Amino acid sequence: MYHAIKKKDLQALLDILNQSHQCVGPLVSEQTLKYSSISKLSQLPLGYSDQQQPGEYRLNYNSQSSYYFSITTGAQGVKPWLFKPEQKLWSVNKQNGSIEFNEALSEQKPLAIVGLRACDLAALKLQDQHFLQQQYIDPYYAQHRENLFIVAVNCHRSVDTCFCASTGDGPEVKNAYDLLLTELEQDFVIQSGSEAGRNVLEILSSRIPLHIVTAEQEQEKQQGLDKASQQVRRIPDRPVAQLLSHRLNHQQWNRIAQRCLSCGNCTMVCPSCFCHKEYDEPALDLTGSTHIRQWDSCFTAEHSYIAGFHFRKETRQHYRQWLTHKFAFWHEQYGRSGCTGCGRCISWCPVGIDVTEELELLCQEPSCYVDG
Amino acid sequence: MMDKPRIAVHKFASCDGCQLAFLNMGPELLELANHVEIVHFVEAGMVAPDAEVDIAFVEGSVSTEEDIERIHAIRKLSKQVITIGACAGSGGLQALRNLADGEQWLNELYPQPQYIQSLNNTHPVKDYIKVDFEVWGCPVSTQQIKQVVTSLLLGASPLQSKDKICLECKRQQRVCTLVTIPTTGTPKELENRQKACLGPITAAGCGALCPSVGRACYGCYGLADNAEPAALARRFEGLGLVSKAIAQKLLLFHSHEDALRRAAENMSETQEAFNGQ
Ligand code: SF4
Ligand code: SF4
Ligand code: SF4
Ligand code: SF4
Ligand code: SF4
Repeated sequence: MYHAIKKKDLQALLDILNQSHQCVGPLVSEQTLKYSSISKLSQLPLGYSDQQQPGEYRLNYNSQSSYYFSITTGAQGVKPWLFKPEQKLWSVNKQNGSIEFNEALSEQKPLAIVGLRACDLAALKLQDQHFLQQQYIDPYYAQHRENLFIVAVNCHRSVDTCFCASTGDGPEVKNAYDLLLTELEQDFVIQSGSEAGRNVLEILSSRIPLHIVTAEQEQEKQQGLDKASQQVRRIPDRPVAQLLSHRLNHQQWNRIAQRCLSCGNCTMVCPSCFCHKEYDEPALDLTGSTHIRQWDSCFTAEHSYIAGFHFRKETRQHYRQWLTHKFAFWHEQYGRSGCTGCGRCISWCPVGIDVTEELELLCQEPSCYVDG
Repeated sequence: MMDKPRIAVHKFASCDGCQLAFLNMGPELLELANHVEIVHFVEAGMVAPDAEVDIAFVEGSVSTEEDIERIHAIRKLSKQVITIGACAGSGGLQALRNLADGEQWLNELYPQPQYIQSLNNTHPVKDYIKVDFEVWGCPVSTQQIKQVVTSLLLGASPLQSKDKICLECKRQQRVCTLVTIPTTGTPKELENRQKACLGPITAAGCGALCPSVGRACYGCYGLADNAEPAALARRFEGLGLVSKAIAQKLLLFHSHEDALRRAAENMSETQEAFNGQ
């Protein structure tokens, strides 16, 4: 059973979450959306919506709009909060003739994230598979992941770069959440998806009125989802993984390399990419150093440097690595494609390379390609 | 412990900005002095240009006959030679004159050119001697200098990442100046739509300084690994920039880099860009 709450009453939810959690939400910052600390409803981007095209991102503002969650995505979702762009792993100190290693993890308030979309929740599941693999748990990722409280939001609109409908990951939230909001003209539909969610909903019900969802509200919710499902981009309806892995010498890779900058922006914004590298920062007094992990990308030279040899030197190979990992080899690794259709790699690519278009060209019928 | 390593900081044709990266360490410079002996660093008051050293830092490009002799002498006196900055690394801003007729410029700019002794072209240090390590930047940062010096003191090779600025920019969650179209703000901010940022071809190291204040990267840290300047130039054309402006952008700091020259030369009107005015 779902409930509806008045829009202004979302403040009560923020209050509850802020008591026990560090609460972050989608705020407008420097002409885009960025998940940042939030305690007041008025911080949410009321009236803002996004417009995205290959290589283009803009926010529009409509003072008449009653919607808080009309911006679909910014450059990042929840990834930087769990798999941090820069993470201190440990430090080492020389003391009285011995060396001492120190763990860099420190006690922190649990995290609550408000506003996460279906594509990002699906990508979160992919990151979980990678960072929480059986006995190989990444403690830095796990720190915030274990007690993460998720308030997901169903999309009531999509932008031109979204293709979550064709990957099957959205626009309706399907993966595990604690609370789920669907924004209507006047209200939010709120539903719980976990024990923690039910508890918060219960506290919420003691502070604000929860209404039973009416048939009209249910219909309005469905209309929003239907609207968001109408997307202009899609993954080709062909066995993409097999086709790609047999077309490693397709001419299209060369054509892409004419445009691609090997800048790595696509991998940096992709919510499922997990590559990283590590380095040391020695202290100036030479008594120790800090070991740091940072986001890496298969578009860097170092990424393919092994035993004195770069095995992927050219942009053509970099791009091929990215696309085939995402859409072909991820299946072997994690049982599905590594793409959840968020469209970020299309919007934030400085030259506007569109993965859906490239897949279309690469996976066309055999008569249209030359494999050499 | 072995004797403290001896270091020297030499200056060639440059603005002195990179040497400041040492001085800007402030009190940390004193800490550094506990571990090294600074024997030659004119800006800090130590003058011993002919001393043998373990590490010689060289700022500036080679621009005169005397510079050529001096750089060879430094190589002989130093176990390791490390260039700091754009000028030493690729010739820097002043290498723009290599694209023009140096003698003609000299005659046009100076009332009594006979007193000026300079080579027609200015060159990066590596054109004359073997360089052991290059620190890029215009200027280099204190952070980079600390990284290099501490690594060498600990016997490790310094980090040499020539990843693109874009990675640093994204790790800091900066908004991309090349992609984002501002829709709110002052009229001036609104005018600034999709700036021609050189981050996608420029080597990291500055921490994406310019994009972090909403400006496009000018490319001062030099060419990144596997950079694609020609593809970026085509993107800039799409933003409405004329070839001349694009060529000027590409060549501003590192005109001595072959890849940048080739990309710029492929743009029509390039000749005009530097000779026409
Ligand atoms: S590949 Fe592109 S569309 Fe797919 S999840 Fe990654 S960023 Fe999003
Ligand atoms: S190899 Fe490339 S595409 Fe795959 S996870 Fe790493 S950065 Fe992403
Ligand atoms: S596809 Fe686009 S974002 Fe990705 S590396 Fe190439 S130019 Fe950069
Ligand atoms: S360095 Fe420039 S092009 Fe690259 S992501 Fe940052 S602003 Fe965009
Ligand atoms: S962003 Fe570009 S121009 Fe600015 S300091 Fe860094 S390398 Fe230089």
